[in-house]
Amino acid sequence: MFYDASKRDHGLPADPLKALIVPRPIGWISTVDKLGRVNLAPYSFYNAVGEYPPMVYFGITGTYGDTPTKHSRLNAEETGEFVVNMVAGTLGEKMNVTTAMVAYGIDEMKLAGLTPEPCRFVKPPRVKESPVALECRYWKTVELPIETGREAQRGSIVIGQVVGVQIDDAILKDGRVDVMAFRPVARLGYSEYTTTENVWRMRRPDDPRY
Amino acid sequence: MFYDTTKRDHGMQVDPLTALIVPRPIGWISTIDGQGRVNLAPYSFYNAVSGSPPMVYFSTTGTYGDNPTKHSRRNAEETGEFVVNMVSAELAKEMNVTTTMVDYGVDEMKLAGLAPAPSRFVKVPRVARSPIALECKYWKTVEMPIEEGREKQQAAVVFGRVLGIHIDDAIIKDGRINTLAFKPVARLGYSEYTTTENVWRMPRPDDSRYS
Repeated sequence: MFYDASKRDHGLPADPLKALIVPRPIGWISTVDKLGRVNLAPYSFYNAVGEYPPMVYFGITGTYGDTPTKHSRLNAEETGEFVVNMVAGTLGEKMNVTTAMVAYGIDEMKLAGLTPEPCRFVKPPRVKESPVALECRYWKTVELPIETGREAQRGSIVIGQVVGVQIDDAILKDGRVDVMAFRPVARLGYSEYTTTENVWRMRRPDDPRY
Repeated sequence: MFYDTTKRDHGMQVDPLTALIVPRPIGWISTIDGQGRVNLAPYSFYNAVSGSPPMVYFSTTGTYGDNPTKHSRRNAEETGEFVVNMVSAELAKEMNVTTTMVDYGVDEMKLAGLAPAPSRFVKVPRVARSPIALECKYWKTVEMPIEEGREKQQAAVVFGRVLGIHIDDAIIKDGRINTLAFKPVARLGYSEYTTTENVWRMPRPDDSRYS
């Protein structure tokens, strides 16, 4: 089948778009507001955007239903900092608790029964139970185009530079990060998720080690 | 352990960064140059950035070793179009062939033995065997900051708006995309990949509309 993305004439009961860009990694973003209150929320419009220097982004949609969803962006912009925590396989349900739409200033880390742990270079705490945390300095926000009739859903992306990296020693094996030791949760379409449960190697054909 | 990314004092043989942002989806980007010559290359710095309108990005690094890697970006900027093809499990080897560094103008689609199929809204062909193709119109490029001493590795993010979408009917089941029918390949760290082989549902606690 083929459909026109601006007309959304796919004829399916639910919009398939997010099921077509998969699996999406989850950036579980912790921030603090100007009063120091913690915020924690997962974003699947998240990934690396550069390696030298290491840069990541997370993308937010203006509103979800009737609720504004800009707390992470607001905090990152106001304080200049955010932390990306890894959702390991064992943390899926706690991550889901932090998707709940709550008022500005409510600490989702506490709500989910997670433990804050101080970072080295930035003020927001990381999730202690997370095996990986990327301490980031806010760089800039890019506002995305507006779709007529969907002005409230306008997206924007927040870009930050990774300045410090926390890795649980338990997921290191022979000097490498062992992905099977934490089995990251990733996002699919609809309300679907997946967990990484297999790993294989494939070198580039022009790599001498291929 | 903790390390400072500006010092990269992690003490490991290989930089672990890309192993910490996982699994990354793969955008297998087809473009054409000003002369209509096809280019096909995979990018794991790729994802959606917006749903309304549907927008995606892919990020390129200036050089890989001594080779410039900007063909996809250059073509997208010059022609205003690109297509994102899905790497299903059965296309993993072909995808890997298209990572080969070749001269500008060399058609990696042909090199990998893949047949092109025409797109509807853009001139760029899609990979016929790919179960999903997103036809995109180039929006803009955002240059990332420069790291001192690594000026050649400066990254750039290329954004596009999704105009048209091809979906193989074989991966649709009961009106939904069935991920297990194509098992997308995703990128991990080092030379590692994974394939999506399990799916579970977890509705948001505050939303009864989601299924």
